[in-house]
Amino acid sequence: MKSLDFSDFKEVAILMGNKEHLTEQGLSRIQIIKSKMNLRRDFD
Amino acid sequence: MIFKISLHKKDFEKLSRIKNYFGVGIIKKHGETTLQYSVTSSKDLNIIISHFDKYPLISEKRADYELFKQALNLFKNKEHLSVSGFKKILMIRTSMNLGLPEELKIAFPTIVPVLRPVVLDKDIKDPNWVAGFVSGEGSFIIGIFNRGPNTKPGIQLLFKITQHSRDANLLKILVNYLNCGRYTASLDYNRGEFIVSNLPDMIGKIIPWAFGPSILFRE
Repeated sequence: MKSLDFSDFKEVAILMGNKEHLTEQGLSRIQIIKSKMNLRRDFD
Repeated sequence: MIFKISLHKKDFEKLSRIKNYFGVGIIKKHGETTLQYSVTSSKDLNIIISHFDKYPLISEKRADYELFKQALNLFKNKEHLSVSGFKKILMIRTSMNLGLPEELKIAFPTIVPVLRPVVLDKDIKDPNWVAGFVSGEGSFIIGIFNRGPNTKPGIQLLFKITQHSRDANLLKILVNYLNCGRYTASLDYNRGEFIVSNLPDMIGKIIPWAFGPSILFRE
């Protein structure tokens, strides 16, 4: 299931590579991703 | 003797693939949230041994593996049935993993550990090893930190591999091999970390490895 964390991480890396984390929308997307990854992931 | 892998129950799929790959062993419930794949018969353990002889471990776990093999040979020759053979196995077990369990230490207070094999060959030869190590042992972390009321929060991507300090050297070799990141000894000195925090390195050097060329463990 780490592959899901990795996919999330990669998505954020790409957003940041495109400087989208500097926009309101990009930032809130990253906040949502972070709030659901690693130990916070729901898997049931 | 047991070869085992314990994973969170959400990784049942992965354990099944490992079981199918070796063609031996069973998967059963282990703890509240974990499953365990195990191989116990010496005939089946031969299959595990031939795999790790073909694809050698290069961390300190290699020494545990070599000791396991020594003990398995004693078993195969039925030496464990004699008192001296049994003691020999305890001596091997004392050098392995976390050492002898407390109750055995009390029952056999005079057991001297055998010398732990020295793992000399720590060169990374197979890119599959790197892919497996990076994707299996690594952690992918997104840090968001506030920078005051009128400033947007900062975002920091972090990739970390944490290992026992006995493998500090291997992590340093990894810094070289991946040509990025740094090694830092953790505050408690029992652990060391390989850390990458720079975005171009993350995109260009870490993320491609986490996809990895490995066939078996690719997800």
